[in-house]
Amino acid sequence: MSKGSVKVLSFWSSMFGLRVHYALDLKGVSYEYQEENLFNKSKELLEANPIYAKIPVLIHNGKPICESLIIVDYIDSVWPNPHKLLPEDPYKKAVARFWADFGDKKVFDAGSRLIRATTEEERKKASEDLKWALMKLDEALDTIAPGKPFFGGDSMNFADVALAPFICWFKGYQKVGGFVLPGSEELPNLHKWVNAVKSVEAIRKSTPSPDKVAEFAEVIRKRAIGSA
Amino acid sequence: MSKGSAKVLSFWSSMFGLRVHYALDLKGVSYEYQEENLFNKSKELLEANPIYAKIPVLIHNGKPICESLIIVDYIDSVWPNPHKLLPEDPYKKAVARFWADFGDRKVYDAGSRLIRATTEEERKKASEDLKWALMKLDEALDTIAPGKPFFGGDSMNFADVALAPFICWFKGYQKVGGFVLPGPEELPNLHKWVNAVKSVEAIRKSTPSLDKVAEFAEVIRKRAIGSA
Repeated sequence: MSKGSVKVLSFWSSMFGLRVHYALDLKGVSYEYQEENLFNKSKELLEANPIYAKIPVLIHNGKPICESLIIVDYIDSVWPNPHKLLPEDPYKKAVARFWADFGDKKVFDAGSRLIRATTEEERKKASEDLKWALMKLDEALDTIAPGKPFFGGDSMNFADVALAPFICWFKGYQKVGGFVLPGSEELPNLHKWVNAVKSVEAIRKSTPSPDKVAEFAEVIRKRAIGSA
Repeated sequence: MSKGSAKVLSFWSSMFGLRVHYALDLKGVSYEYQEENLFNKSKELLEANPIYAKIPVLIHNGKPICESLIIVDYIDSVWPNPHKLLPEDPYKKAVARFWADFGDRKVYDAGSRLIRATTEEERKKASEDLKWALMKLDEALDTIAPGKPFFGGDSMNFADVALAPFICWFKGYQKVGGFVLPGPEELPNLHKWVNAVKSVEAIRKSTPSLDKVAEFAEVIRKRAIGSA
């Protein structure tokens, strides 16, 4: 699907970067991938994202787009077919955006605090917050798409793409933060969702191994504690 | 412009709430307004926004939409005319979303830390960060819409609506945090932008008095210091 040159600057384990991979892969878009060394960022990254100097960045026909959800929104606009990610209906679209944003505000936030916790109190609070967030996702799946595998119903939508990257981090949350993912009797919809996401070929393509991610989570933790 | 019933739950001085007012007023949409007491939130608010229990919330035909930028996006989809806020071009749309998001991450964040600073060090850092953010906005205006008053060119777009609410808080930032807004010799584009925004009738409609906001900023500060 050629619509000019597409390049992704990212980091292999980044949940935000994975959103971009998932969106492009679900739509069958060819792209070049450049792995960034976050301790030695490329000149290209610094020029593409001067405000935040962060990955992921999508460079399309030489123009940079930053911030993962803005990138996914952009991808959906440029390559609407196949596999439109944002619903046409304004209300369903708003609901999809809400849960994508919830991923940042409540899932990523709690997971990040869990990995970097320096006291047992911090760890416990982060763990509880993460569990609460997953409960809310479980309830949301039942409300938005009852009996269906995805937030988007039979196929992944904007919310699914935004949240899917957390799946490969759960082993890391367990290894490093002692977080035990509640089982399917507690979170039946979430577990069905996880299995459905994992079965999507386009998702498997870029998802790193949970073991490698868990090792990396340990690295982050050591660095975080070291500097505390 | 009747497309069912529209109701806004908000708080008079909230920058996030103002985004919703601005969007609806620019499009000439009639709506009911309900002022919330943030220390005694209405049952309606808690039911409309069970995840965050925060304002603003837009209730349209009985369905709640939460998170200010998601609400503005929704408003733009339901009432595209007159005055479309999001550009049709995917790249220009991504740029507008980026600067709207920058408002949250860098302007609101620094302003919030400025008001709640408990040490001179914190106050100084927040002040510098706010100044940096305004410099970046000044540069962005020149890059995106050189010689034009708004991010949207001749009229306000999604980024303008997202950022405009900060204007009425600068007196508060000065009163409470000692923040001196750099003048037009330093930030020529930003000052032109401020004047242009202030001249828009639809913006004036809901913008609270700067003095009242400054008084409210003092209240926030006292409460923040008191609990530190």
